[in-house]
Amino acid sequence: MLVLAILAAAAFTQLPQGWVAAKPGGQCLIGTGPRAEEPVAMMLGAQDNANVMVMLTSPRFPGLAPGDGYVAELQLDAGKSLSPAMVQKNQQGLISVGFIMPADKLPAFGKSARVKVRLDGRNLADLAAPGRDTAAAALGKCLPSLKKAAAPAAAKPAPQASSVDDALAAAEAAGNRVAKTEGAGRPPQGGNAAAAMARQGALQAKSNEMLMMMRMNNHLIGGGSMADPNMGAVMWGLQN
Amino acid sequence: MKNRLFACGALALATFSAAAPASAQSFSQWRVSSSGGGCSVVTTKDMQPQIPSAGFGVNSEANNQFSLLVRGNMNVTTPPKSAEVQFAGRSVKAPKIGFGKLGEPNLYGIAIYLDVEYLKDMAESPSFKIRLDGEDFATYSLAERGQVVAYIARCLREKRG
Repeated sequence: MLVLAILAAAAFTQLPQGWVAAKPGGQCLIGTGPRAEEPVAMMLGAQDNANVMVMLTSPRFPGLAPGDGYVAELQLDAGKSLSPAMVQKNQQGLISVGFIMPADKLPAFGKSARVKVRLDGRNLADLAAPGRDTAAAALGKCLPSLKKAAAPAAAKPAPQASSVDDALAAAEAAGNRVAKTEGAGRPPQGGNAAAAMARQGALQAKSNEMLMMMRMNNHLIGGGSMADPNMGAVMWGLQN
Repeated sequence: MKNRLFACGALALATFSAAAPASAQSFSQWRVSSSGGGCSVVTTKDMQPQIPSAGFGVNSEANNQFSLLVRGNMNVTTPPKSAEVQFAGRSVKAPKIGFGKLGEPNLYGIAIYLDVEYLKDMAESPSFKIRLDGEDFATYSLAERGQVVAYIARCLREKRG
């Protein structure tokens, strides 16, 4: 694990000016940090080598209400890709938009002259930031380290005493009993209930990742450092 | 202690692998923050004024233990030596406590670890009290507590496979 971490850190040593990188919580991350351009910050991060999360922050994204029912379209020279997207407003009034880019699009992202994002059919931002080719390549080099590093965490825990199973079954039953007296969870949005449910599930799975990215993004916009040893707490929502 | 609390955040981020069907759960006043490495829910910002601290979460990375996470502006500025949770029918002393200063003045976080045996008590107790070092700290009445407990239990069972 230590060797992998060192290798991953080494992959980030050659970044263009204006880009920063970190590997908190076992992730690979690169970001522009605060910029004068729009979006004022851009971050790309991954914790597996299949998907890269893209996080954009600006005070000027037009009329976007916080929510996780958005659809982002990434337009590159090589084509378009669609992703569920979420929008969050932080305490400074900055709007962050997060979406997913397949990791195999990373080289095209770096090389494409046209890098635009549309959100729910509206133009949102131009991401053709200088140095993106080198930054994307650095992130690409880091990604293979993630799969190996994540393997132990993905392994199933050793079987434990049946008392744990009994306790969990009792808790689930008690929770379900009490839940009947509580309001149901948020209903899915949209007219087609089945499609909306499926979409909601996919968005929920991705929104957890994006929310963590957004917390980190907000922390950086507020003057925090990617090298902050407390970044794990930031991403988990324990620290702003 | 500080590192222990922050470590729980880092561990919760252990992987981004898509979670099992339990991840599809959604709440109106909680946000699921589970990852492949753990099962977690935290209150949303909208709920914060309704509870006696700035934030509250339930987290578990080991499937025989869970933790109650409290953060906020507290008078507690040093790691508590003991923590007790008084549920409706019984009380339990926490075998482990995490504590960390969270940056801003007086903003602290406490993680109170309990055996999963006490997870059902969270669902069955309309409110429960946390005592630190023998003194009352806060009483919690959690919205959607049944759904939250059922979710955490289901998530842990799925991870046990």
